[in-house]
Order: sequence, then structure tokens, then C-alpha cells
Amino acid sequence: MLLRFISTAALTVALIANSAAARAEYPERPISYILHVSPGGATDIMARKLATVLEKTLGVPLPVENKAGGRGAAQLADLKKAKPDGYTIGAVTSTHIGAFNQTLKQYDVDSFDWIARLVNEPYLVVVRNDSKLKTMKDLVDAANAKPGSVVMAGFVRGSGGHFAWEIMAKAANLESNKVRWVPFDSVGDAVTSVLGGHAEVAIAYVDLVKNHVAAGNMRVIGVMADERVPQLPDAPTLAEQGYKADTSWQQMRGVIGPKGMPDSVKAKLADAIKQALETPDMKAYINESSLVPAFLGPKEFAEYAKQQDVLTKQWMQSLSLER
Amino acid sequence: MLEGFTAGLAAFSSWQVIAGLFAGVVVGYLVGALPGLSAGVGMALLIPFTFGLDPVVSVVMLIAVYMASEYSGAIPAILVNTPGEPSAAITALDGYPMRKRGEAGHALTLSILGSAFGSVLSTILLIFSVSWMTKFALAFGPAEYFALAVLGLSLISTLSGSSIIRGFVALLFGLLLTTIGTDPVDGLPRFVFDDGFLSGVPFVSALIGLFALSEVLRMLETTDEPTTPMRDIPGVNGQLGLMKPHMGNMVRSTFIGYIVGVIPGAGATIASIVAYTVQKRLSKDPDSFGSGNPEGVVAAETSNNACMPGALAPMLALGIPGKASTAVLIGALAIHGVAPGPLIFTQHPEIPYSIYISLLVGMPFMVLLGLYGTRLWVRLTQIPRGVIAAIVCAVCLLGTFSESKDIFSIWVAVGFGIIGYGLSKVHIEPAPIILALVLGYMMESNFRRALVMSGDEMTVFVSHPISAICLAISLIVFVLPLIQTVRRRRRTAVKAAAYPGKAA
Repeated sequence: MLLRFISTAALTVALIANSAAARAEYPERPISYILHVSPGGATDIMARKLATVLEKTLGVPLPVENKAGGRGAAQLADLKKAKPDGYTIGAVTSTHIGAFNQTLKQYDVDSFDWIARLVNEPYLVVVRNDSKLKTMKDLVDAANAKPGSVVMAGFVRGSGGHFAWEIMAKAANLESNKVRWVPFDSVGDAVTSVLGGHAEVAIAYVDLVKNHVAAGNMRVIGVMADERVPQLPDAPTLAEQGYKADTSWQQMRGVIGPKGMPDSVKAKLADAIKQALETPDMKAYINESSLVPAFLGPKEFAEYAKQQDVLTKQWMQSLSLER
Repeated sequence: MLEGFTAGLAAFSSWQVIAGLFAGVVVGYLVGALPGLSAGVGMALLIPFTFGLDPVVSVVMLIAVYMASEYSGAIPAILVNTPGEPSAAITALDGYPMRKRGEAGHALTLSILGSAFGSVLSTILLIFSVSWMTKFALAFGPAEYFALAVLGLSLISTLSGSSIIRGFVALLFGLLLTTIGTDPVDGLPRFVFDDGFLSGVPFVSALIGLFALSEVLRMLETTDEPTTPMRDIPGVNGQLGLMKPHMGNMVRSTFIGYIVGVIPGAGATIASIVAYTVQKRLSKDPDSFGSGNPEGVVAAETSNNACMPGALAPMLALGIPGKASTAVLIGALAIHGVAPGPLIFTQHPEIPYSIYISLLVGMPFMVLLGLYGTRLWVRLTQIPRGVIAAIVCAVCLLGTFSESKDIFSIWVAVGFGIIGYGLSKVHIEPAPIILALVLGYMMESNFRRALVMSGDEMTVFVSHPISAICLAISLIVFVLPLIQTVRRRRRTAVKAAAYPGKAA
């Protein structure tokens, strides 16, 4: 009897130990990290940098695969097909949430598991240095005085930057269509068009304009964040100028995976990512690229994504961009 | 400027920089010669290797890859009618007919020496004009880009060989294809039947299908045909001598390439086609363009390599990536905390100057590799056609796959191969289709953007000077050949009326 008890107990212990060992073993083979962008851009380079640091923390290789095309369609199709075992993960940005509501309606925020948010990037309102617009009030006044006289450059309609402008306009009590929104193929192209004087204002990011500001070619008239940006100490926030825009609306970068990943795997990945973001190498890169560290774990990130999705849906509806 | 050069030269004293330069040239030759693997992708693949390197070493290596791959796209274009880089499609127009005549060595020699000349002269232009050129680069807004695209498309008349009507059919077919994909203004999917078409018809697949795979199908018609006899290649001195008659052509093409290169987003394909057109107009023998005129090879290759230093001007001085390859360079520098843009010449002068030096120092190495390599590569023409067809087919399909990592793109390439083969049976050339695919999106998106900007005011296209000039030139380019044709017809008609007996 006693012997049987002991053997059962031993077996139970062994089983528990075994399963614990199995769980502790993740990851035991390479994890593919699928991106929605072609090689060479800012998102790609940050992901590659992160992958090299994660390789050290997790002890397995993280091959980065670029699946550009269709604003994330190619990447998401691969993620959707993959097993939710933690060996396939993907990059995500705010643009994805926009696409779920626009071109990639076959997916929504629930189609994927949200693993970790990495960084945020606030939106800026920039003009060329010789522009008459010196403050947000100048911009609002100019638009009210002569609707259509102010041309604003940004990424496609329905993108994060476009909604950022809508949020600002609402905070300023300005009908947003009094400003002409001109969609460019990238935010960088929009900045170039302001530099060339083809558009008067652009909605941009810190990294794209900080050198032009330092060289005296451009001026930032508003920052959509709670605090001033360290790289641009002279640029006032919108709140300082009396416009209460929702500053939680920022461009985000994060990591997602196929739906149904075990919680322990997600936690392990999120922990490793959190550690990676703290390494001096990553910190320096994030600082150099004027990004704001904004880590969120799986649960909080999923909630955040849902909240952004609700906001996106509201804006799509009110701008009748919904299809 | 002198201080900058000293800083750049000081950076060159380490053996790692020299090793990076040589490694870059060799990798660039491979990347450029493999269809589907474009300069931008090849450079991006090297980025992870540059994490641990010094910023100067990594930028020198990437520049060498960029430089060599812009040239080596001509090698498969001449040998097997398969442009390794999109701009080499224009090189193939005359390069491939030359190879069919057994003059592959001759064509390859002209292409490497033309490229080298274009690259070096254009680098010198870059060093002296980088800061002025930024104004020119920024002058291009939506209206100007639209007009530039129209100008590019109007050059179609030079590409369409004997029949202008057939050229138009091909051009319009290409423009029709560019309507597939995501709408540039509202982000709406148009004529997208498969997710693979969301960002438009995959360009590399179309290029490979229309040129390489359709050529493979043609080869299969006559697999047992004996290989073309090969003409002897002169010694290296003799090879250099081949360039003598082309000096004027090379200088002109370099200036065209450099100026087009400065315009962000315009690119080597437009440069090649403009230089090709200009040369054809000035040539004593314009009718032989398209059937193996060496001047065509020289013009296309000189200008597409001259384009590359041009593209570096807005990248260095403004931080604007004009195309995929310069975007990768910006990314590679960002890793090391160096941001190209208005401050680079004061904060990191060693970066632009080491780029200049590597362009100049790397060139002789690239030329030697090219001149001696020519002897090796021409042997490819002695392999039986059936074998060549199989190899080309395999390399091309692998190339399309590696570009997108999507099996769908292979089917697109095969589809275009069949279309291209069918079109060749009715004597429709693929070059105008490629031109339309390159310029169609640029034309449409900027047309609509310009109208959104102006509030649907059509006059923007004529009130902006650059746009007005481009549109006027394209009108002239477009109408002139039509008038000439009509006149020629009338003259023959008059002759026929005078001698009714001889009319046929």
C-alpha cells in the first residue's frame, strides 16, 4: 500500500516536473519574426535590432522575414496560417489597426494575440521656417479665414496621422475640411513636400524632422503629447497652446502572434522583450530614433489595441471612410 | 571641402574599409546580375552584418554593393535578354541583338566602360554640386512629378521600334495594369482579385515574365539551333579603345543620368530611357536602334550608372530617400546614430566624403573585374540553348520568389511570360509595358494629389514652370514623329501618283 502510494506520488512528481520542464523549455527552436515592411526602413531596422538582442535573451535564433505588400496583407496571411506555439511572431504598428477597418476587413483586433507594445511616437505639426504660421492658433485662424487655403500633407486618408489631425481639429473646434488633406505615399514624402514649399503644413514624426529643425529649415508648431519632446525643447505641446487633444493617440510599434498562444509563452516573450528594451544598445537606438519607450505586457496591450480599434471605428464612421 | 576629404581619406587608412569596399563590389556584381534580387534588397540583406562594423566601413560596403549592382544588371540583359535590374531593360534593347550577332563581348565591354565613365563623372558632379542640387530636388511637387511621368511616357515613340501603333498598344496595356492595386488617394482596393495584387502588379514578376520567361519560350522553339559564333574580344587596351567613338554620347548621358537621379523617386529607368532617346535623335543611324546599335547600349548604361551618385545628393543633403537603395543607406546609418540630412556635412563629414572616395576608388576595381570577367561571361553564349533556357528559367523563378517570398508572384511571372511570348508573335515589344508600369503609378497618384492640393484646379499643371516645360517637351516629342510619318506618307503618295506604274 505504502509502496504503491510512494510510486504514485513519485510518478505524479515526475509528471509535474516533466511538464514543467517542457514548459520551461520554450523556446527550443528558432522563432520567425515576420515584418510587414520591406528591408531598410525604420520599422525594419528596429525589428532587426530587437531580434539580435532577443536572440541573446532567449537563446534561440530569431530570423527576420520581410513580407511587405498590401499594407500588411502578406504578413498577416502568414501569421494567420502559423501555429500559435510561439515560434511565429510578427511586427505590428498603428497602421495595422487602421487597415483592419479599411482594406483588410477579413481581420480584426481579435484575429491575433497581442504580445507586447514596444514604443510610441507622438504626432507633430510642422511647417517650413518661412511660413506665416507660427502657432496652432495661426493655423486655425488661417483655415477659418479662407477655407482651403491651408494645404496639409500626410500619409493616406484613414491613417494614424490623418486621424491625429482630425483629433486636433476637433479640439480646436475647426471643421477639418477647411484644411486640404493631401495624402502622400509616406510621411517622409509629406515632409519633403513641405520642405519644397508644395504643401504648407505636414503631420510628421520627430525623427523625420529633427535635423531639418536643427538646421533651421523647419519649425514645429505643435506636439501632440503630454510633455515636450526632449529632441525639440522649443516646440510647444498642443495643451500648452490651449488645445486639449487626446494625447494617447500616437503611432505605436509592437509584437503580435497568431490567435491562441499559451499565456506562459506570451509571458515569456513579453518578459524577454521588456528586458531587451532595457539593454543599453536598444535604449541608445530608441533614443537616437526619437522614439518613446512604451512597453505594455500581453493583457494591457490587448486592451490598448481594443481601445484604439474603437477610436479608429468612430473616426472612420464620422469621416465616412468606412467601407 | 578639403577638410572633408582629409577626414574621408583618414577613414580609408584602415584595412577594414578597403576590405569592405572589395567585398561590396563582389557582392554587388552578384546581386545585380541575379534577376529579382534588386540593389535595395541586396543591400538590406547586408544590414545585419553591419551592426558590429564601424559606420564608415558599413557605408563604404553598401555603396560598393549599390555601385556594382547598378552596373551588373546589364550582364544578363545582354547575354540572355534578362535585365538584372529594371533599368537594364533599356540596355537589353540593343545589347541582346548585339549578342545575337555574336558581339556579346563587344556589348559587355561597352556596358562596363560606359557605366564606369558615368559613375566617375557623375560622382565628380555630385562632389561639386551637392548643395545646389537640393533646391532642384525640392522643386518637384505633385504637379511636377505628374509632368515628368508624362514626359517619360511620351518617349515611348523611340522604344516602339518600327510601329508606333504597336508601341501604343503596349503602353496602354501597361497603364491598364497600373490601375490594379490600392488606390493612391483613398486607399481603396481596385481590381484586386487576390491579396497578392493589393500593392499593384508585382513589378519584378512582370519584368522577369515579359523579358526573361518569354525569351525562354522563344528559345524552346529552336533548341537545336547551333550557338552563335563568338567574335574575338580584343585585349584590355583594345577594349578601352572601343570607347573612342562614344565620348560625346557618354558625357551627354552622364549629365542626363545625374540630373534625373537627383529628382527623388525618378530613378535609373527614366534616366536610361531619356538618354537612349536623346542618343537616338542625335545618332546618324537612328533606324538601327533596337536592332543592336552599340550607341544604345552606351547611352543606357552610362546614364543608369550616372543616376546613382545623383540619387545620393538629396539623400545626403536632405535625408530624403529617393528610392529603395538610398532608403536602405539611411537605415544603415541610423543604426550607428548618423542621420543624413542638413547637418551631416558638419557633424559627420567623414561619411559623405568616404562615400565619394569609395565611388572613385572602387571604380577601377569594378572595371577590372568587368573587363576580365567579360571573357568569362561570354562563354555563356556557347552553352546549348536548351540548357541556357532551363538555367534562366530556374534562376528567374527563384529571383521572383526571393523578392516577395510569395509563391503567387511566381504565377504572375509565368503569366507575364506567356503574355510576353504572345505579344512577341504580333511584334509588340515589352519595353513600353515596363515603362508604363514604372511611370503609371507616379503619373496617376501625382495627378490626383496635385488636384487635391489645388482644389481641382487644372491650371496647376501649366502654371508651375517645371511642369509646364516638361509637358511642352512631351508634346513636342509626341507630335514630331507623327508629323514626320505623315509627311513621309504624303511624299510616297505623291511619288506613287507621279509614277502610277511603279506603285505597289
